[in-house]
Amino acid sequence: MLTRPHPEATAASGLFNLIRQYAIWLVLVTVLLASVLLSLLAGYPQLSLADLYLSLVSDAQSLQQSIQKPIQQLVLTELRFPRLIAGLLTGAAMGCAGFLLQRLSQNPLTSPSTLGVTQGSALALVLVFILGIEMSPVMRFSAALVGALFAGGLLLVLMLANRQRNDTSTLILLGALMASFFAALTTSMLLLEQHAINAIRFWLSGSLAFVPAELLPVLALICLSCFAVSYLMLPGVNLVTTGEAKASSLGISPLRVYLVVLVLILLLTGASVAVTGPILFTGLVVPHLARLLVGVKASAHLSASLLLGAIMMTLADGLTRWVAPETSASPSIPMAIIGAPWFMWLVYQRYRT
Amino acid sequence: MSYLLRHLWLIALALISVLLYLFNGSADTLALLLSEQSELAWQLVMELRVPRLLLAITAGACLACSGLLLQTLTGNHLADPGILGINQGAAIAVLCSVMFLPEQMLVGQALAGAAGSLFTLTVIGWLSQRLSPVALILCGIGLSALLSALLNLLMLSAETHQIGQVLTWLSGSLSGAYQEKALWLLVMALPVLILSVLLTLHLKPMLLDQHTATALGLESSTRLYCLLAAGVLSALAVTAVGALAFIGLLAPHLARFSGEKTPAALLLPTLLWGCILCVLADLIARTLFAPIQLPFGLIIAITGVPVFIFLLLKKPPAAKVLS
Repeated sequence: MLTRPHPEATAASGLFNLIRQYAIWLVLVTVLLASVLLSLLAGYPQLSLADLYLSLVSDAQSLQQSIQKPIQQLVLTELRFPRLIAGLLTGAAMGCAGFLLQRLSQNPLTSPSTLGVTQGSALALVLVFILGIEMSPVMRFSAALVGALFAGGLLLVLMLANRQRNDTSTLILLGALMASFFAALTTSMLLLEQHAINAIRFWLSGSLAFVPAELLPVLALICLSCFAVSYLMLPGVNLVTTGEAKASSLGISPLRVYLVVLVLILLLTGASVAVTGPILFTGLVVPHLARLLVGVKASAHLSASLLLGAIMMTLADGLTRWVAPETSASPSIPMAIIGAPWFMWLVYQRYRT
Repeated sequence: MSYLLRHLWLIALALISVLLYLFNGSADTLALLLSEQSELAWQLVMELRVPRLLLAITAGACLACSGLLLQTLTGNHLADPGILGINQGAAIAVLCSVMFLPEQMLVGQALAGAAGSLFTLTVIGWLSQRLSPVALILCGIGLSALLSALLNLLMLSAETHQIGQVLTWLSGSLSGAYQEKALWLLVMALPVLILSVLLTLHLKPMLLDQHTATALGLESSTRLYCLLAAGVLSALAVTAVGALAFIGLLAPHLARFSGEKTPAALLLPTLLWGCILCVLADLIARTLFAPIQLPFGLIIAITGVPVFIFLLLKKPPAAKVLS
């Protein structure tokens, strides 16, 4: 060693750091399990652990006996489990999208919900309603997904038309402009056809309710494949953020990395919004918090973002149902209550002199 | 004098839009005027359309002026009271005042709007000295998200027609314009506009960077007054008309096409373009889906955004603007 080791760097402190690193993951997983339990048990029929156990155990039996299951188990299997899985997947998806966007733009103030994808979804839903098409849950999901992908695709095309293709500041600005554009179109249609307001207001507030179980495999497919590709893209993202020249000289095409990551962000956000409606601030808060907890190493940061995203969504949903079980309050409310001051604190902390 | 001659076409365009506005709409006013029912036609024009026109012109001028001041002060051609979040701050304040003060008190709402706008403006002004233009826009986006969250909260509990009203107001609407309101806005805005004219005469050094400007004699008090003027103008416009966006962004951009460079010279084209945009947008909003009247802010957004995206993507100096 060319330098003397730091006087306090003993073997014990090394061990302590190691334990602390693993402890954080342990704490995260524990909090996740706790929020899973909360999400399953809280709500209008307030359930207990015994109901949960019975539901898991007696599923096989009652299939054979075809007796009528008690209401608690029905609630669990038909409503709560799909809701939980949807919450975990969409939370992790928003966490991943936020991570990718913040890494790419190197700015913790960016959020994937402001790229116009959410507003594109809303527009598609209002259009579908006005055209008089039947609004089954699957139809709603497909329409919202198509709207989200359309908005995302438009953004992608505009970014390609941009002279400086890797410019994230243009991305943010274009995203904000597209969001205003789609929001203006949606508001026009809502004002022209005021019946549509009733149809869409519940979706617009963002909620995990009424997620049909048929959609879950599609959602899982999209989310999990995007997560896998994100892990694969991590080296590329790291290199691209060090500068275009360095990345090119190391053989990675910055444009290709940029485009693939953008597609991932838009796909993840689109799928998440199509299922739950717009729940803001998740993609903003989660990656920053994850970085504070586990540090800047990309794979750890991504994994923590996924975990934290799932935790936040499930926790917000569970808390909302625990605190106000008989209303249809949405998880957006606790998200906004945490997220908005957080955002302001972030700005203050980052930019005070 | 040559200055006015150079911009004669713009003045003519403004006059043409005003005439089009006054004589177009759901009633065929010109024909009525020439027939025996000219009394009715005059009444229609004077009582319904003129206040609305006055409101549109004043609001457009206020927002355009505010946008020009902000763009000059921050040195960023993307500044706009809507994008920076000032309008959203005012809108949040007015929404809260509407939720908690149920009476239709224009003065109370105006005060709330002014307070919200000035508070947001102070924060933005403080931040603009330390932030890159992109980060400022991010703050504005954050404030918009906050407004959306508040709106969604409202949506859950309110009636459908109330939601319709809130959406209309938030998009910037001239329906319900009446004489007192238009005169109120004119009276309140005119001093500030005159003040802005006087201030822009001093703002030429701002074309360079901040330090050089200070070295050339631009005092920080002048900058502060400009910021305050921008905030007050946008607060007045938001209170009267709703949270309009893009006029403060588009009008100075369009004015720059006329070739002027200094803020003082840009002021007249900016104000004219602001008026033209508002008047034409409201004309379209009134007549497109007659008898339903859309809020004209939506028309401005729907037509303005593609124009602005086109401008943004076409200009190579976008890099310099955003860095």
